[in-house]
Amino acid sequence: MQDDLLLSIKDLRTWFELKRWGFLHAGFVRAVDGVSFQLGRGEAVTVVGESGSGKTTLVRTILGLVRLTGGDIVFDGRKMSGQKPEDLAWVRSHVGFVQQDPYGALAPFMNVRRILREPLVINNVDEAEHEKRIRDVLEEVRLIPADDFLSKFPHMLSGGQQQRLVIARAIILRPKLIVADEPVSMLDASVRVEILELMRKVQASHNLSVIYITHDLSSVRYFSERVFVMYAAKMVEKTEVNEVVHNPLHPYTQALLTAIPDPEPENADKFRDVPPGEPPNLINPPTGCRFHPRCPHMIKGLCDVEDPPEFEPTPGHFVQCWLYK
Amino acid sequence: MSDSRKGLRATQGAVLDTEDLYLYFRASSGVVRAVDNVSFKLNYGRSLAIVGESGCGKTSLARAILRVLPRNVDTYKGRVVVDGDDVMKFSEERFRQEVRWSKISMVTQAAMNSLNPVLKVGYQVAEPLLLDNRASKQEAMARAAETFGIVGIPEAFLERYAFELSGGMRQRAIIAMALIANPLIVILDEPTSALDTLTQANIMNALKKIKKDLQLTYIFITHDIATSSELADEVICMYAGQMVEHSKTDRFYREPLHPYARMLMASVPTLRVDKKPQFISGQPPSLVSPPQGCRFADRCPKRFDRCQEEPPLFTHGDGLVKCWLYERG
Repeated sequence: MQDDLLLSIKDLRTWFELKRWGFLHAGFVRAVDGVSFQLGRGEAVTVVGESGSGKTTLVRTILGLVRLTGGDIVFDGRKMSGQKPEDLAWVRSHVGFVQQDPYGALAPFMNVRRILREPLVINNVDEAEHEKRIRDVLEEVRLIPADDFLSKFPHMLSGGQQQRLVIARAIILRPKLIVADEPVSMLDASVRVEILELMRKVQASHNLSVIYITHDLSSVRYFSERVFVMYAAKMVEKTEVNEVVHNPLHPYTQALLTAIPDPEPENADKFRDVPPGEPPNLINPPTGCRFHPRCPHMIKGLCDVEDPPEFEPTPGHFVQCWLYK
Repeated sequence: MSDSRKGLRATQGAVLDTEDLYLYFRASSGVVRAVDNVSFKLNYGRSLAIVGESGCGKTSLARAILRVLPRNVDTYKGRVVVDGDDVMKFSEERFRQEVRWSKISMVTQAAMNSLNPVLKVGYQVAEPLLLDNRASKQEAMARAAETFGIVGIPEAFLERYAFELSGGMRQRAIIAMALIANPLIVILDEPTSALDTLTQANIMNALKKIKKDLQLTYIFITHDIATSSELADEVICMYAGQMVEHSKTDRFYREPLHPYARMLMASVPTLRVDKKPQFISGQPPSLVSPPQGCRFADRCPKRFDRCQEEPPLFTHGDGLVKCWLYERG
């Protein structure tokens, strides 16, 4: 175990069992199926994937909210595998969570002071320190002057301010890792950039590691150095941001890039060359590569039979696709 | 798609002309001015994108045009001319029979989740034709099958239930529903925002093809600027209940006129071009008590004395802009 690694995940599987009929076992939803990656201290990565690709289950497993089915998670030198969710409180005190919908994530009956005090109380932080830490953290997320905000309730704040408060709550325990699940997808375009910049600033000033989950590939380059692309519970491509944008290897990543428009007047006359179909069912995923039914480069007899392992065609660029054998 | 349907359409002039349209709601905090004096003209076969941030009145504008109003309406006035008829003079019953769905239809936000779970999809799509005995059951189902072909759903799906369809297919069924009565205008309110990136691109392709084949007019409402460029010939940018700019796409996506539109464009992250997106500080004003002068003045970097007065719409080139900077053309 190297010291500069905060999180190391190996062959992680999180499966949810379907409802049993008596003794009959109906099967599993394989929400995360064989994911491996490592995250350094102070490093930010983005996990990109469509809805149902398993990205949220992945972070819920890392947060210790659902029990993993197989594989290993080592957080800060301690193993998480094999422990029950209730025994994983130590993980959650080191991980801050920024939710997608800020209004839904904030208790409507608590004012800002109570919302921020809650994690301090739960984690037995010395009472004398509370007020100072709350004010410091509000200062940091630019909800200033703090006195104006302390007694406000969430509905009195704008969407951007609510998301700042959620970020403040996530960092008040001085965590080592922040997990942000689509932190800007509910916000307006003009506010998004502001929140992403704030997260970058917080990350740099505390040397935090960040896992940023999104379905929007176009915001990735403003946020992290490395990108992981998920498709149907697998991590199909792992690489640097610039590589993903200029040299995507997996056919799924290539399709994603084709599908995303930049605002240009010519778009209205262009048809986009994207594969038809929809992501597979995770109860009975297709054999072989999970993208093969939609893939324009499918190799018959290989892609539809055998699951591709991870190849590394250029150093640091990993891809699960038989084209790079 | 038969030629007879195409031939019936007029192609000259404005299919939709709204003038001084107002829609105010009563709320506990006062009167909310959701749509505050909006006027625009749209010609046959053109697509219009309406962009703006949440709460700027985009959806309310669509509702005002289609006259789908909640109970707490305070003021609803103005002129709406559809295909040559001043429909604001129509009674509710006449509007329902002659305009809604037969001339203007709508795909609402997240509509794919509003399919009835206990009725077959084909029946739900055909339903608008069965109302008021517009068509016999067989004719309606045949039309539904034809429309399924247009939006790219296999015909066998007519007999399926909503839960058997994927998200993308359900959204296509909703689009089929909007097309079945052969309208002139289809209002698309965030038609793809709940869908995956690839599905979204597939649906956009389908919508582009439909527009070409059927010579439809789209009004495409979205907060996503990048997606709005996919379906637009012209763009209206709204801010705080008002239309601040109406431009052709060439202008709007390259160099919009209004300072707000310019900042909004600058806030869009781009995938291929390496530029740093900017943000707009501050918040839009309350629609209950909007400021006297220009509503964007508080956040505007180009503010000057004149902005204390409300600017009219100035013509600039082939665009319209509500900003004093363009007073001299």
